[in-house]
Amino acid sequence: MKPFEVEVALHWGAIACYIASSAFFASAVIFEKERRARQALWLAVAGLVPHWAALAFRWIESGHGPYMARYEVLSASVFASILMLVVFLARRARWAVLGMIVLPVCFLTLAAALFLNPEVKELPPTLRSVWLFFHVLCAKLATGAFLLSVATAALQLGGGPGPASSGWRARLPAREELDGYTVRFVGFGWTFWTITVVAGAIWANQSWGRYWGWDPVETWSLICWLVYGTFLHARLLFRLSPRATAVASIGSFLVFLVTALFLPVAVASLHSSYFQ
Amino acid sequence: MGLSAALALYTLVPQVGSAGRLATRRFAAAHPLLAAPLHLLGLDAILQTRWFLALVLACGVTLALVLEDQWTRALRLYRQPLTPLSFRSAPHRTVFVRGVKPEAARARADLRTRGRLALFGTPLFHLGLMLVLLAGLARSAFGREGVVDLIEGETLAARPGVWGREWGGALSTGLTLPADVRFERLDLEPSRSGAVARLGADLATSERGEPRSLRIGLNAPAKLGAIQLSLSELFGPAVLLESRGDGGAGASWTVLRPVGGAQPAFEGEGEYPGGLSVRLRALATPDGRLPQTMELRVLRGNGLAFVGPVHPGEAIEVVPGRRLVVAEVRYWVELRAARDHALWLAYLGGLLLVGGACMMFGLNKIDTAVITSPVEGGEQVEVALRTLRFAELYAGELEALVARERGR
Ligand code: HEM
Repeated sequence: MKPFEVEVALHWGAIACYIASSAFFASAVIFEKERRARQALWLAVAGLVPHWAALAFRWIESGHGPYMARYEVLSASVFASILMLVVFLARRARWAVLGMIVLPVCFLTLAAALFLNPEVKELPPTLRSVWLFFHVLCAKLATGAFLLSVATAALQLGGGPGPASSGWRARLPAREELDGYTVRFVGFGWTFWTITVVAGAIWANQSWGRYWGWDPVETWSLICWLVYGTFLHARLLFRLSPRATAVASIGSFLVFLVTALFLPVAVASLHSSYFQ
Repeated sequence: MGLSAALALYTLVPQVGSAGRLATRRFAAAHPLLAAPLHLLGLDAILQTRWFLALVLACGVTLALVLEDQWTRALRLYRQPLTPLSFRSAPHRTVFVRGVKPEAARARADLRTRGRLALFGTPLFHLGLMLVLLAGLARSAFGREGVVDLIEGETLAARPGVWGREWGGALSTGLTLPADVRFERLDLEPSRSGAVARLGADLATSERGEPRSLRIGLNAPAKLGAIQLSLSELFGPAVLLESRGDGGAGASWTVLRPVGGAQPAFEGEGEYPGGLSVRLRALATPDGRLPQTMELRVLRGNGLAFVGPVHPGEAIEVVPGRRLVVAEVRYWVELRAARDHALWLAYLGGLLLVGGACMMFGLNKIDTAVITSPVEGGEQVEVALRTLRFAELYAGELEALVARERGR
């Protein structure tokens, strides 16, 4: 078996577990089966094992972390998001509905990533720095937290329980809790994004002799940080309603997607030459 | 939001200076109706406009105003002792009667607080923001940078004007090294694929009259006085060609720069006495050693006078009566220098930003109260909980506290 075939096999193994886990979460929510939520969580953990093995295999094979090819970057982001979900759900069985929403987004992204160019690229010496590790790690954790905030926001807008709700919708977490967690996840994600930007700036100073250079990807990461900052201010100072908070969280996430997924591929930048 | 919008425009409209003339012209040709008003509003040079500076300064001023308020409030809340009255408007509260013997029923208040440091998250973060803003303004006014191509064996003198290109803030002074710096040797290690795996440069200088050797590399800068020296990724062979013959002699270095293509290669051009235009091309060597064969093309006027491979030490008669000697081949690197007296302020600000953000969302101040008072048939227990943030997520904690108190 070629190295890439091993990675693909491990990834599909993980995807199978995530699909099963999503189905179990859905059944736990709809049929109010708490035990099934536990089983779903274990299935997600079972998926993380081959997923982790695929990433580790790739790391050894390429000699560097998941920084270079879009395939490995997306796979690592999905891993971080599912890991965050699992940590959150481990002590909150009531929130199984989050697994039902987040896991399908994750496994579909992972499956799509498997169809991208898997070519192993060397890590250029300018990228070899301890700061790269912190920079990327925190960006992944921010992605996971922002994704969770979008999930709670989507529930707030679409399915949260109301006075007239019945059946499984009536058993969803209360609207105030959904609102609280939307902001809390944004807070976590924004904190990790702060570390991402600061670590990137320190690294840029070592590498290029200046900590800020207004490169397009750099600038958009700042825009994204400011947009989430504006969101947190608005929520605090203007006492946004839960619906407005949910809309603002989803809007901010769109800016994040532009920064993290679209720009590095579409724009010539010091940060993205290796992606293109 | 204003800053975000300005910065988004900055990345969408090609900016004079940074995008390059070609990109600016291409944009103007593609959007003739847009280009003129954008130029008029300064949207093609946003970072240099007065309104952008005003926006940044406005942020600074409002930050300074709220900072004082945030610190006094945080300190006041930190010092404020907890009393039963503090829980008057607590979002979580339960009252129940616990059956105890009348002699055991007592009035008491068990008030606790944890995570008080969370109070300082917001002020620390905004202080960090202020410091970063100040450091950025100081850098854009006083900071200075320079780059120069330096060949092995060459010395960069400790005087102004030695850089190939130098730029900086309106109030900055010339970039002068504290002592001469000699580029001793390039340390290059190629990877299996031929790309660069490691790039370093050994420099020799002096400090207080004592010789000092310095090693810089990619991601590994060194400090020389107030100046940070670093390497860019650019390097290549430099060839010393001597032109000898009738009508004058001369020698000069031709620097070969990396060029794209299927195989990593370097190319460079130079003018030599006798009206010779020289073009050199060398392939990158797999072991990182200097190339031992180069392709030489010599033009005299518009005519091709010579084309063929040459080796270090070789002399070639390119036209009758004129010889070109490949006298020496060495490596060159692009050396970068930066001087920013406010760098420490930016780093301190960055540290506070991260610390403040972690304290804001990683900690939370939680106050709990269990207030008992004797009533007929036992004692009344009032359990209350309030938090600095996310009160709506702490109902479970109150329930646990109530369950504990009921079980007593
Ligand atoms: C013009 C500059 C700024 C001013 C005047 C300002 C002002 C404020 C004020 C008054 C608060 C409320 C503080 C409190 O409750 O004690 C606050 C909170 C906050 N600010 Fe700023 N701020 C500025 C810039 C920023 C920026 C650029 C960011 C990040 C991108 C940011 C992130 C935050 C966060 C995360 C909070 C806490 C929100 C929460 O508690 O949920 N601020 N700011």
